[in-house]
Amino acid sequence: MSATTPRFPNPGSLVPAVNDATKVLYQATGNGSIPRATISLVQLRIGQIFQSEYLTTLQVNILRGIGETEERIGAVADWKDAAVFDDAERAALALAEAVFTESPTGQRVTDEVYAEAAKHYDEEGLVTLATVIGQIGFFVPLAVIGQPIPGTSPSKQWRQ
Amino acid sequence: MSTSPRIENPAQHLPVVGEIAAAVNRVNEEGVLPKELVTLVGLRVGQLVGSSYFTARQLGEAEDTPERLGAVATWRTSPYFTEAERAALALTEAVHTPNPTGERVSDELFDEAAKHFSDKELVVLTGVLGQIGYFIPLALIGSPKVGVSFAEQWQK
Repeated sequence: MSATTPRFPNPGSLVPAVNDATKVLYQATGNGSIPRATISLVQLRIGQIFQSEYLTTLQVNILRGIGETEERIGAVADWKDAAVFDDAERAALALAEAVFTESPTGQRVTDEVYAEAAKHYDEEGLVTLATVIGQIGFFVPLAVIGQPIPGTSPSKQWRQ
Repeated sequence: MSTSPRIENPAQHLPVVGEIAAAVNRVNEEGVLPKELVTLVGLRVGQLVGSSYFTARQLGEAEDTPERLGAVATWRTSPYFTEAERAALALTEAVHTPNPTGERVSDELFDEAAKHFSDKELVVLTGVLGQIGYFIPLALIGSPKVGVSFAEQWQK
């Protein structure tokens, strides 16, 4: 396994449409309907599910930057058993996990998981949450196929 | 099991959704990858995440033979796909398949894909997977109607 060797050059230079999509996605989730911490907790969990060191490093740095405790950051991987998240955060994490977890005998996002989320978020919030998850959904293939170097600047993270 | 929309028109709640959809839908606008290949990988992702919405959408827009489209679910044992298509399907499947003992996309898989695709083609393929990756949560959470037009799919 070569976890820190980028496999392709800067994708945005090769295919400008990837850059454009990235820019729009970054502007998408700041409408205030989902707390900043929840956004990154959810995005950290998705990075963990996909085992992407690049995505988890990025989100851990963001969470530290907004003053989240190491206790909460460290508890994301086993949030179901953790006492440090409130019900709204738990509902958001459950939704993200359901989207990206195989469910051989049924639909991934069950009515129950959706109903729990709908208790804590209105429709604007739920659509924003879907976009928060979708933002990482867009970046997951870039991260797990392209393998950018974790923790560096966007100009240095790809094959030079 | 819910097969009716849970959310009314998402773009009405978050107008930027339309802008994002337009942006991510442009990743293959230059036609770097053949449309057939884009359909095959999109169809496979829909199958992997268990979304009838995606599979119906891909099949509705497909310009390929029923034999090939039907064989996507079992592509490994099918004679209908080229080596390049097989490498792209393997990459697609790896992204969406948990691998408890290592990275999802191994060097071997990537190297096989790199035999058939240039850097630019690989980035577009990755972008196409990202395009679908963006829509997965909207489809799985929002549960749009299957097999109807974009205008009708969110009508409760």
